Amino acid sequence: MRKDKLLNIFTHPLFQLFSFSALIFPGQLFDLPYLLILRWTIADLTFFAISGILGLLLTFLSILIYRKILQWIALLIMWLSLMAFVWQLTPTIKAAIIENPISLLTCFQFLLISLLIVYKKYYGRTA
Amino acid sequence: MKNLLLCTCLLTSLLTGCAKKIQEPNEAVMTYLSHHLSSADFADIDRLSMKQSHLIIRLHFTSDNNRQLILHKTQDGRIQKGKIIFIQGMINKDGYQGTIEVSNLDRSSNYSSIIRNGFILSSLTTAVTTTTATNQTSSDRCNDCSIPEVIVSATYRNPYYNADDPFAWLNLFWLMGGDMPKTEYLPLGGGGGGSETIDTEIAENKEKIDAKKYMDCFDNIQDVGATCTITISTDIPIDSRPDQFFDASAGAVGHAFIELWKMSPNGQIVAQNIGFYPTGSFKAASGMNVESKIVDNAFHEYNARYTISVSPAQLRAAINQVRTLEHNAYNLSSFNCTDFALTVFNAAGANLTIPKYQIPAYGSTTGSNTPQGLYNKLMEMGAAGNTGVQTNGAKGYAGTSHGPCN
Repeated sequence: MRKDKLLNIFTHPLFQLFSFSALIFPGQLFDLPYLLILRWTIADLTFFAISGILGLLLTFLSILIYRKILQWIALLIMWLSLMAFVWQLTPTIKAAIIENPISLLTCFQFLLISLLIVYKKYYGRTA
Repeated sequence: MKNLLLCTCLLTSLLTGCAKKIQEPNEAVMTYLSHHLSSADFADIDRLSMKQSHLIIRLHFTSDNNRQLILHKTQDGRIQKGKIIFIQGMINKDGYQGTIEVSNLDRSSNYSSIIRNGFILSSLTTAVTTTTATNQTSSDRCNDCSIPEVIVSATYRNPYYNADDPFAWLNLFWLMGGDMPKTEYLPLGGGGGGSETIDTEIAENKEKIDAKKYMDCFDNIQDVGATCTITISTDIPIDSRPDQFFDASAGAVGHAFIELWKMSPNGQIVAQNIGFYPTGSFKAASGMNVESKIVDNAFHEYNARYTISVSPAQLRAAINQVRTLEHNAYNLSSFNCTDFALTVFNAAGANLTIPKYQIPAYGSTTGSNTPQGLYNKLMEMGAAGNTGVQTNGAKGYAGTSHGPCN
């Protein structure tokens, strides 16, 4: 019962929203949260920015109208955004991600949340 | 016992028989040169002048000490390539001005060029003299302005050279046709033989400097008769897009920095390039005040810069401003690198104002000073005919810094 409760907390769309927004990536001057990167690049209509914002909106929508499928789709779109973002990074920044413990921690956190959401869908009991 | 003795003798003879005669390094060099130089040139080598480093070997000719042999050595000691160079010129405020002649070891593929402001201009087919110098500028051939081929260092952190004399350094990547690292430079003066690697570590990752020790160096040059300049430079995140605030691929927002420059009547130079940075924490992205640091910005890229001549007293005012601002907190929207650079620049009497822009997601009602705003202002001034503005076509690199003085 307690395990289910914890699972529900960590797989809640709010948690998904927060962990995605709070992903930290190294920058030229200072580390940057992913939400800020999306904000700074949305005007350029880059794929990762559009998909990132879309993922956030769908996750928020899944809270409002309580549709798990929306959370799922949002999660997939978020991963697409992340992959597109990391793909276009310079080798220096990619290397810096590996060397930055905060970056690694936030990336691991989001990965864990994603895996828990998948786990809950296929193996968890409905709350 | 007999068998043991026999085996030992056999083994010894095998080893000595199979071992190649190992040439002494100098001998290997001479052997190489004997195959690649003309007999006259080979006979003219001043063997006593040979100096080696981990990457290069250099020698002079006996009959012409100004003409040098530069050989590129691989890690395992093999000689890969060589050139004969003849370079002459002078160093002024804008850098190295002169001429260079380069040929292969057999004197083929002779190449001559003017050097202007450190850049080796288009090759000319006839021998070059300074009187026939064209008006070409470095931007004419600079599709991707990298560090100048010939840079001047007032001092360099090198234990072999006298730091008081300005030296010129020739880019070995250019000389050897791309076979050497871009950051290897050959000293053109002095008695040293080795090349030096320009430190291209990202300034943002560098340690904080002691700004006072950097500024104290200017006291080594008396104010009387000194020539002083101050330069403000801007590096926008995407070279071709001054309208872009952020380069997502590099996490870059751009940078602005200052060069302080002072020269004595006898040519002694002290130059310091400095920039203002946050200490790297993601707290800086939140718009809060964070601890700052001043970093050496030697060789930092710039897209536009503006230089003004100032009096020693004005330079001193700028130096004092640096000392004052050294401990200011960094704030992305209200006191960033551009604010620092502008404040120091204007302390020297520049009176430069730039357009302020809104940083996305930061709610400043008046906007912020940004590298983009500085760039747009300098481009406007350059277009209006201000000769102190330099844009170098696409981008350039700042010069070296003197470093700290005790």
